[in-house]
Amino acid sequence: MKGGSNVVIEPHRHPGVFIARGKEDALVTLNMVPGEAVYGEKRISVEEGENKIEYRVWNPFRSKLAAAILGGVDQIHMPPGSKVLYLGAASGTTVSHVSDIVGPEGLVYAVEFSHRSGRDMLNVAKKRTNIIPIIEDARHPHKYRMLMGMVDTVFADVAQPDQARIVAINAQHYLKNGGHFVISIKANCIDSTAQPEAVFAGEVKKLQAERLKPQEQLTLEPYERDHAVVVGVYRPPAKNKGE
Amino acid sequence: MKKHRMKKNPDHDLDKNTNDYEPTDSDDDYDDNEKLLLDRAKKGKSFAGESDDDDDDDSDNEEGVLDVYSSSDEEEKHAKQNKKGIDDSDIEGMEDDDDLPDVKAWGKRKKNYYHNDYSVDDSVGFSKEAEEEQALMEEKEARTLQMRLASQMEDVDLLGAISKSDKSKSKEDASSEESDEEAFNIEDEMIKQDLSKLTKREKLALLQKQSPEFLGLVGDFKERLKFVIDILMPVSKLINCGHISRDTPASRFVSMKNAVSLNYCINLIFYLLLKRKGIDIKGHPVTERILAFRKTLEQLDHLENEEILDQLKQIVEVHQSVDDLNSCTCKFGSKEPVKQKKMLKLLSKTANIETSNKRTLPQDNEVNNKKKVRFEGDEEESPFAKNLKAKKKKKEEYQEEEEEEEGGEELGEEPSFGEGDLEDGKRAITYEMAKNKGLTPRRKKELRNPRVKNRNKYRKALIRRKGQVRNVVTESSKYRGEVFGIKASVIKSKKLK
Repeated sequence: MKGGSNVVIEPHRHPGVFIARGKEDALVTLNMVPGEAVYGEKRISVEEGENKIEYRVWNPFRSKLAAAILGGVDQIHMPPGSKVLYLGAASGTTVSHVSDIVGPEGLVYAVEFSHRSGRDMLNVAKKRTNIIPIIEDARHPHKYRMLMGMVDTVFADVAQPDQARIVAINAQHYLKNGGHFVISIKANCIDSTAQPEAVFAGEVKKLQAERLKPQEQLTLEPYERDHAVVVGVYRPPAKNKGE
Repeated sequence: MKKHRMKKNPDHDLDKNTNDYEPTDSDDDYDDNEKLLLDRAKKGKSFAGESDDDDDDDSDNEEGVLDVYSSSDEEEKHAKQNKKGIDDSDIEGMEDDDDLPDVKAWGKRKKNYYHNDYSVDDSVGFSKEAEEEQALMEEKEARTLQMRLASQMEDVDLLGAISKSDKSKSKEDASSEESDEEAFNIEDEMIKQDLSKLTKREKLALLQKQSPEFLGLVGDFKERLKFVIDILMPVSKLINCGHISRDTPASRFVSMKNAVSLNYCINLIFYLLLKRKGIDIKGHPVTERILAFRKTLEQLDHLENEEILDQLKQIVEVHQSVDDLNSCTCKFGSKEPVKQKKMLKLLSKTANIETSNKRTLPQDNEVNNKKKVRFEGDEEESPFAKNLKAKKKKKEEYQEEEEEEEGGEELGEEPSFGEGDLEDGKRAITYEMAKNKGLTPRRKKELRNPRVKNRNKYRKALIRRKGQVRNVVTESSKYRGEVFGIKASVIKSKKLK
């Protein structure tokens, strides 16, 4: 992202997400903690009168959500002020961007089982007040039920064979009716022998069985190989037949 | 054999015999199968020409049944054999007629021929008379065998022929058989002897013995050859040169006799060569040839008489004198016609005699005719020669044609090609016909090779997919943003129902 003063920030179709247009376009989010980079990403600071606003460049190679947005996903269901349960938070890179998106009114419950990545994530959460870190196994949502409230959206990037079940259990526990889920599926982690398309279709079937209704699907080329993002709704309200 | 069996279980046999005892017919002891076997065994023995054992067996059998025999068995056997030796011949003579199979037939078992004869010890008791008689029998047998062999030799008997010629012709019938027998005797006694030790007379005698026909043949050979050289050759030369006309029967006779006698001599030479090498000429095809030529020569000799011989001699003498004259005085060519006339006169005379002779001897005439036919056949063209001639003819014709064409061209008459094509035959078929394409549509070149076709298909599919799914790229050194820009309004996700 070169060009200095020539860079123009404009909002994306998804609220909370911005596009920095310069010599090269980049996806950016409003930095909640100005002057601080989470993982060494570029920052773009914009001065509007007295206020000094800083944007962080969102790298699609390191975040499935950014890849999905750049790929052209219809909805991410994470507007500012919404509560998000993030399963598989890892080092907290994407979590930091999500926290930027939901803003100070929103909340991000970041669940990570690995202590090593969990430590990084904790560091991120220290600076960002809207992140609630949970170092627990996502397979046992009751273990962190004391920390949780109901959420609007569940984001899952756990890369486990029983991903659909994990999502389903968490949805049962914490997702509100009519809430949404965004799942990143790595085909190799589910079934390395089968064709990726077949794996994706199989996962969609499983989700449907768990009353999670997939609405759209998107593959993540050119950023990831054999990855797909499925976006859906949980227990959607019955359609008004009388209407 | 049977005796042994009997002796092994005498008790059993006794039990059997006590039930129905019939000493006269011991064969009743056996059931049908066994009888059959017995008969066969007996026959087998008789095949070998030894019927003695049968009697022995029978007697043994009886004795076995009676069970009288004990230790004195062997002695009595000997005595019996001695007795039998005397009247052996009678029995043999009888059985030769009825029991023996054909003499030519082979026996079925080796056993029938070996170890069935009397051993040396057994024959001690033979009287001299019996031995002599047996020797005589053997000789007789051998003679019959040899007679048979001789008859198989296609009646080729040189000696017979020679003896015939040597002896007067009236005795022919009588002599043939004698000569046969003589030949056999000689053959019998053919033994290799050390020749170097013998005197000349002994050698001659031996030669007379071993090949009695030899001296006769040699003599005949000399005679014939001399006749050919002295008379036949010069005369036939004259005939060939044209001094004497060929068409007269006499000249034909001379040339034929010349040819036959020459052939005869050649065959004789071959025979002598064989003799020299010490090869056995018995049954050799050359003997046949010699005999045949000899017969024809004899027939020709019949035709000859003193007159012809004299005239021939005269011709030869005259001619020799003429030759001498010619060689001395080549200038006098005028004399020749006179001599020729003389000779012609002589020949015409001989021709008359010949014709008269031929009328009297029709059989010989037939032979002559046959010979002639043969010679004519020789003179005829062989198929190979015919072929060659035909080829030559063709070549000549072709050359002639070429010459004609050249002549035509020279005259300015150019042959029209269209007419030539029509004359040659049908037009050649076109390329389309040859390829037999029919109504097949034209196809692209790349479709010829299926591998290339698939490769092209894959290449095109890859290009198409590039527009549908972007290639996966790894992160560059540091992410700077989307090179191709971001279009926020674009939604590419697949909607699920």
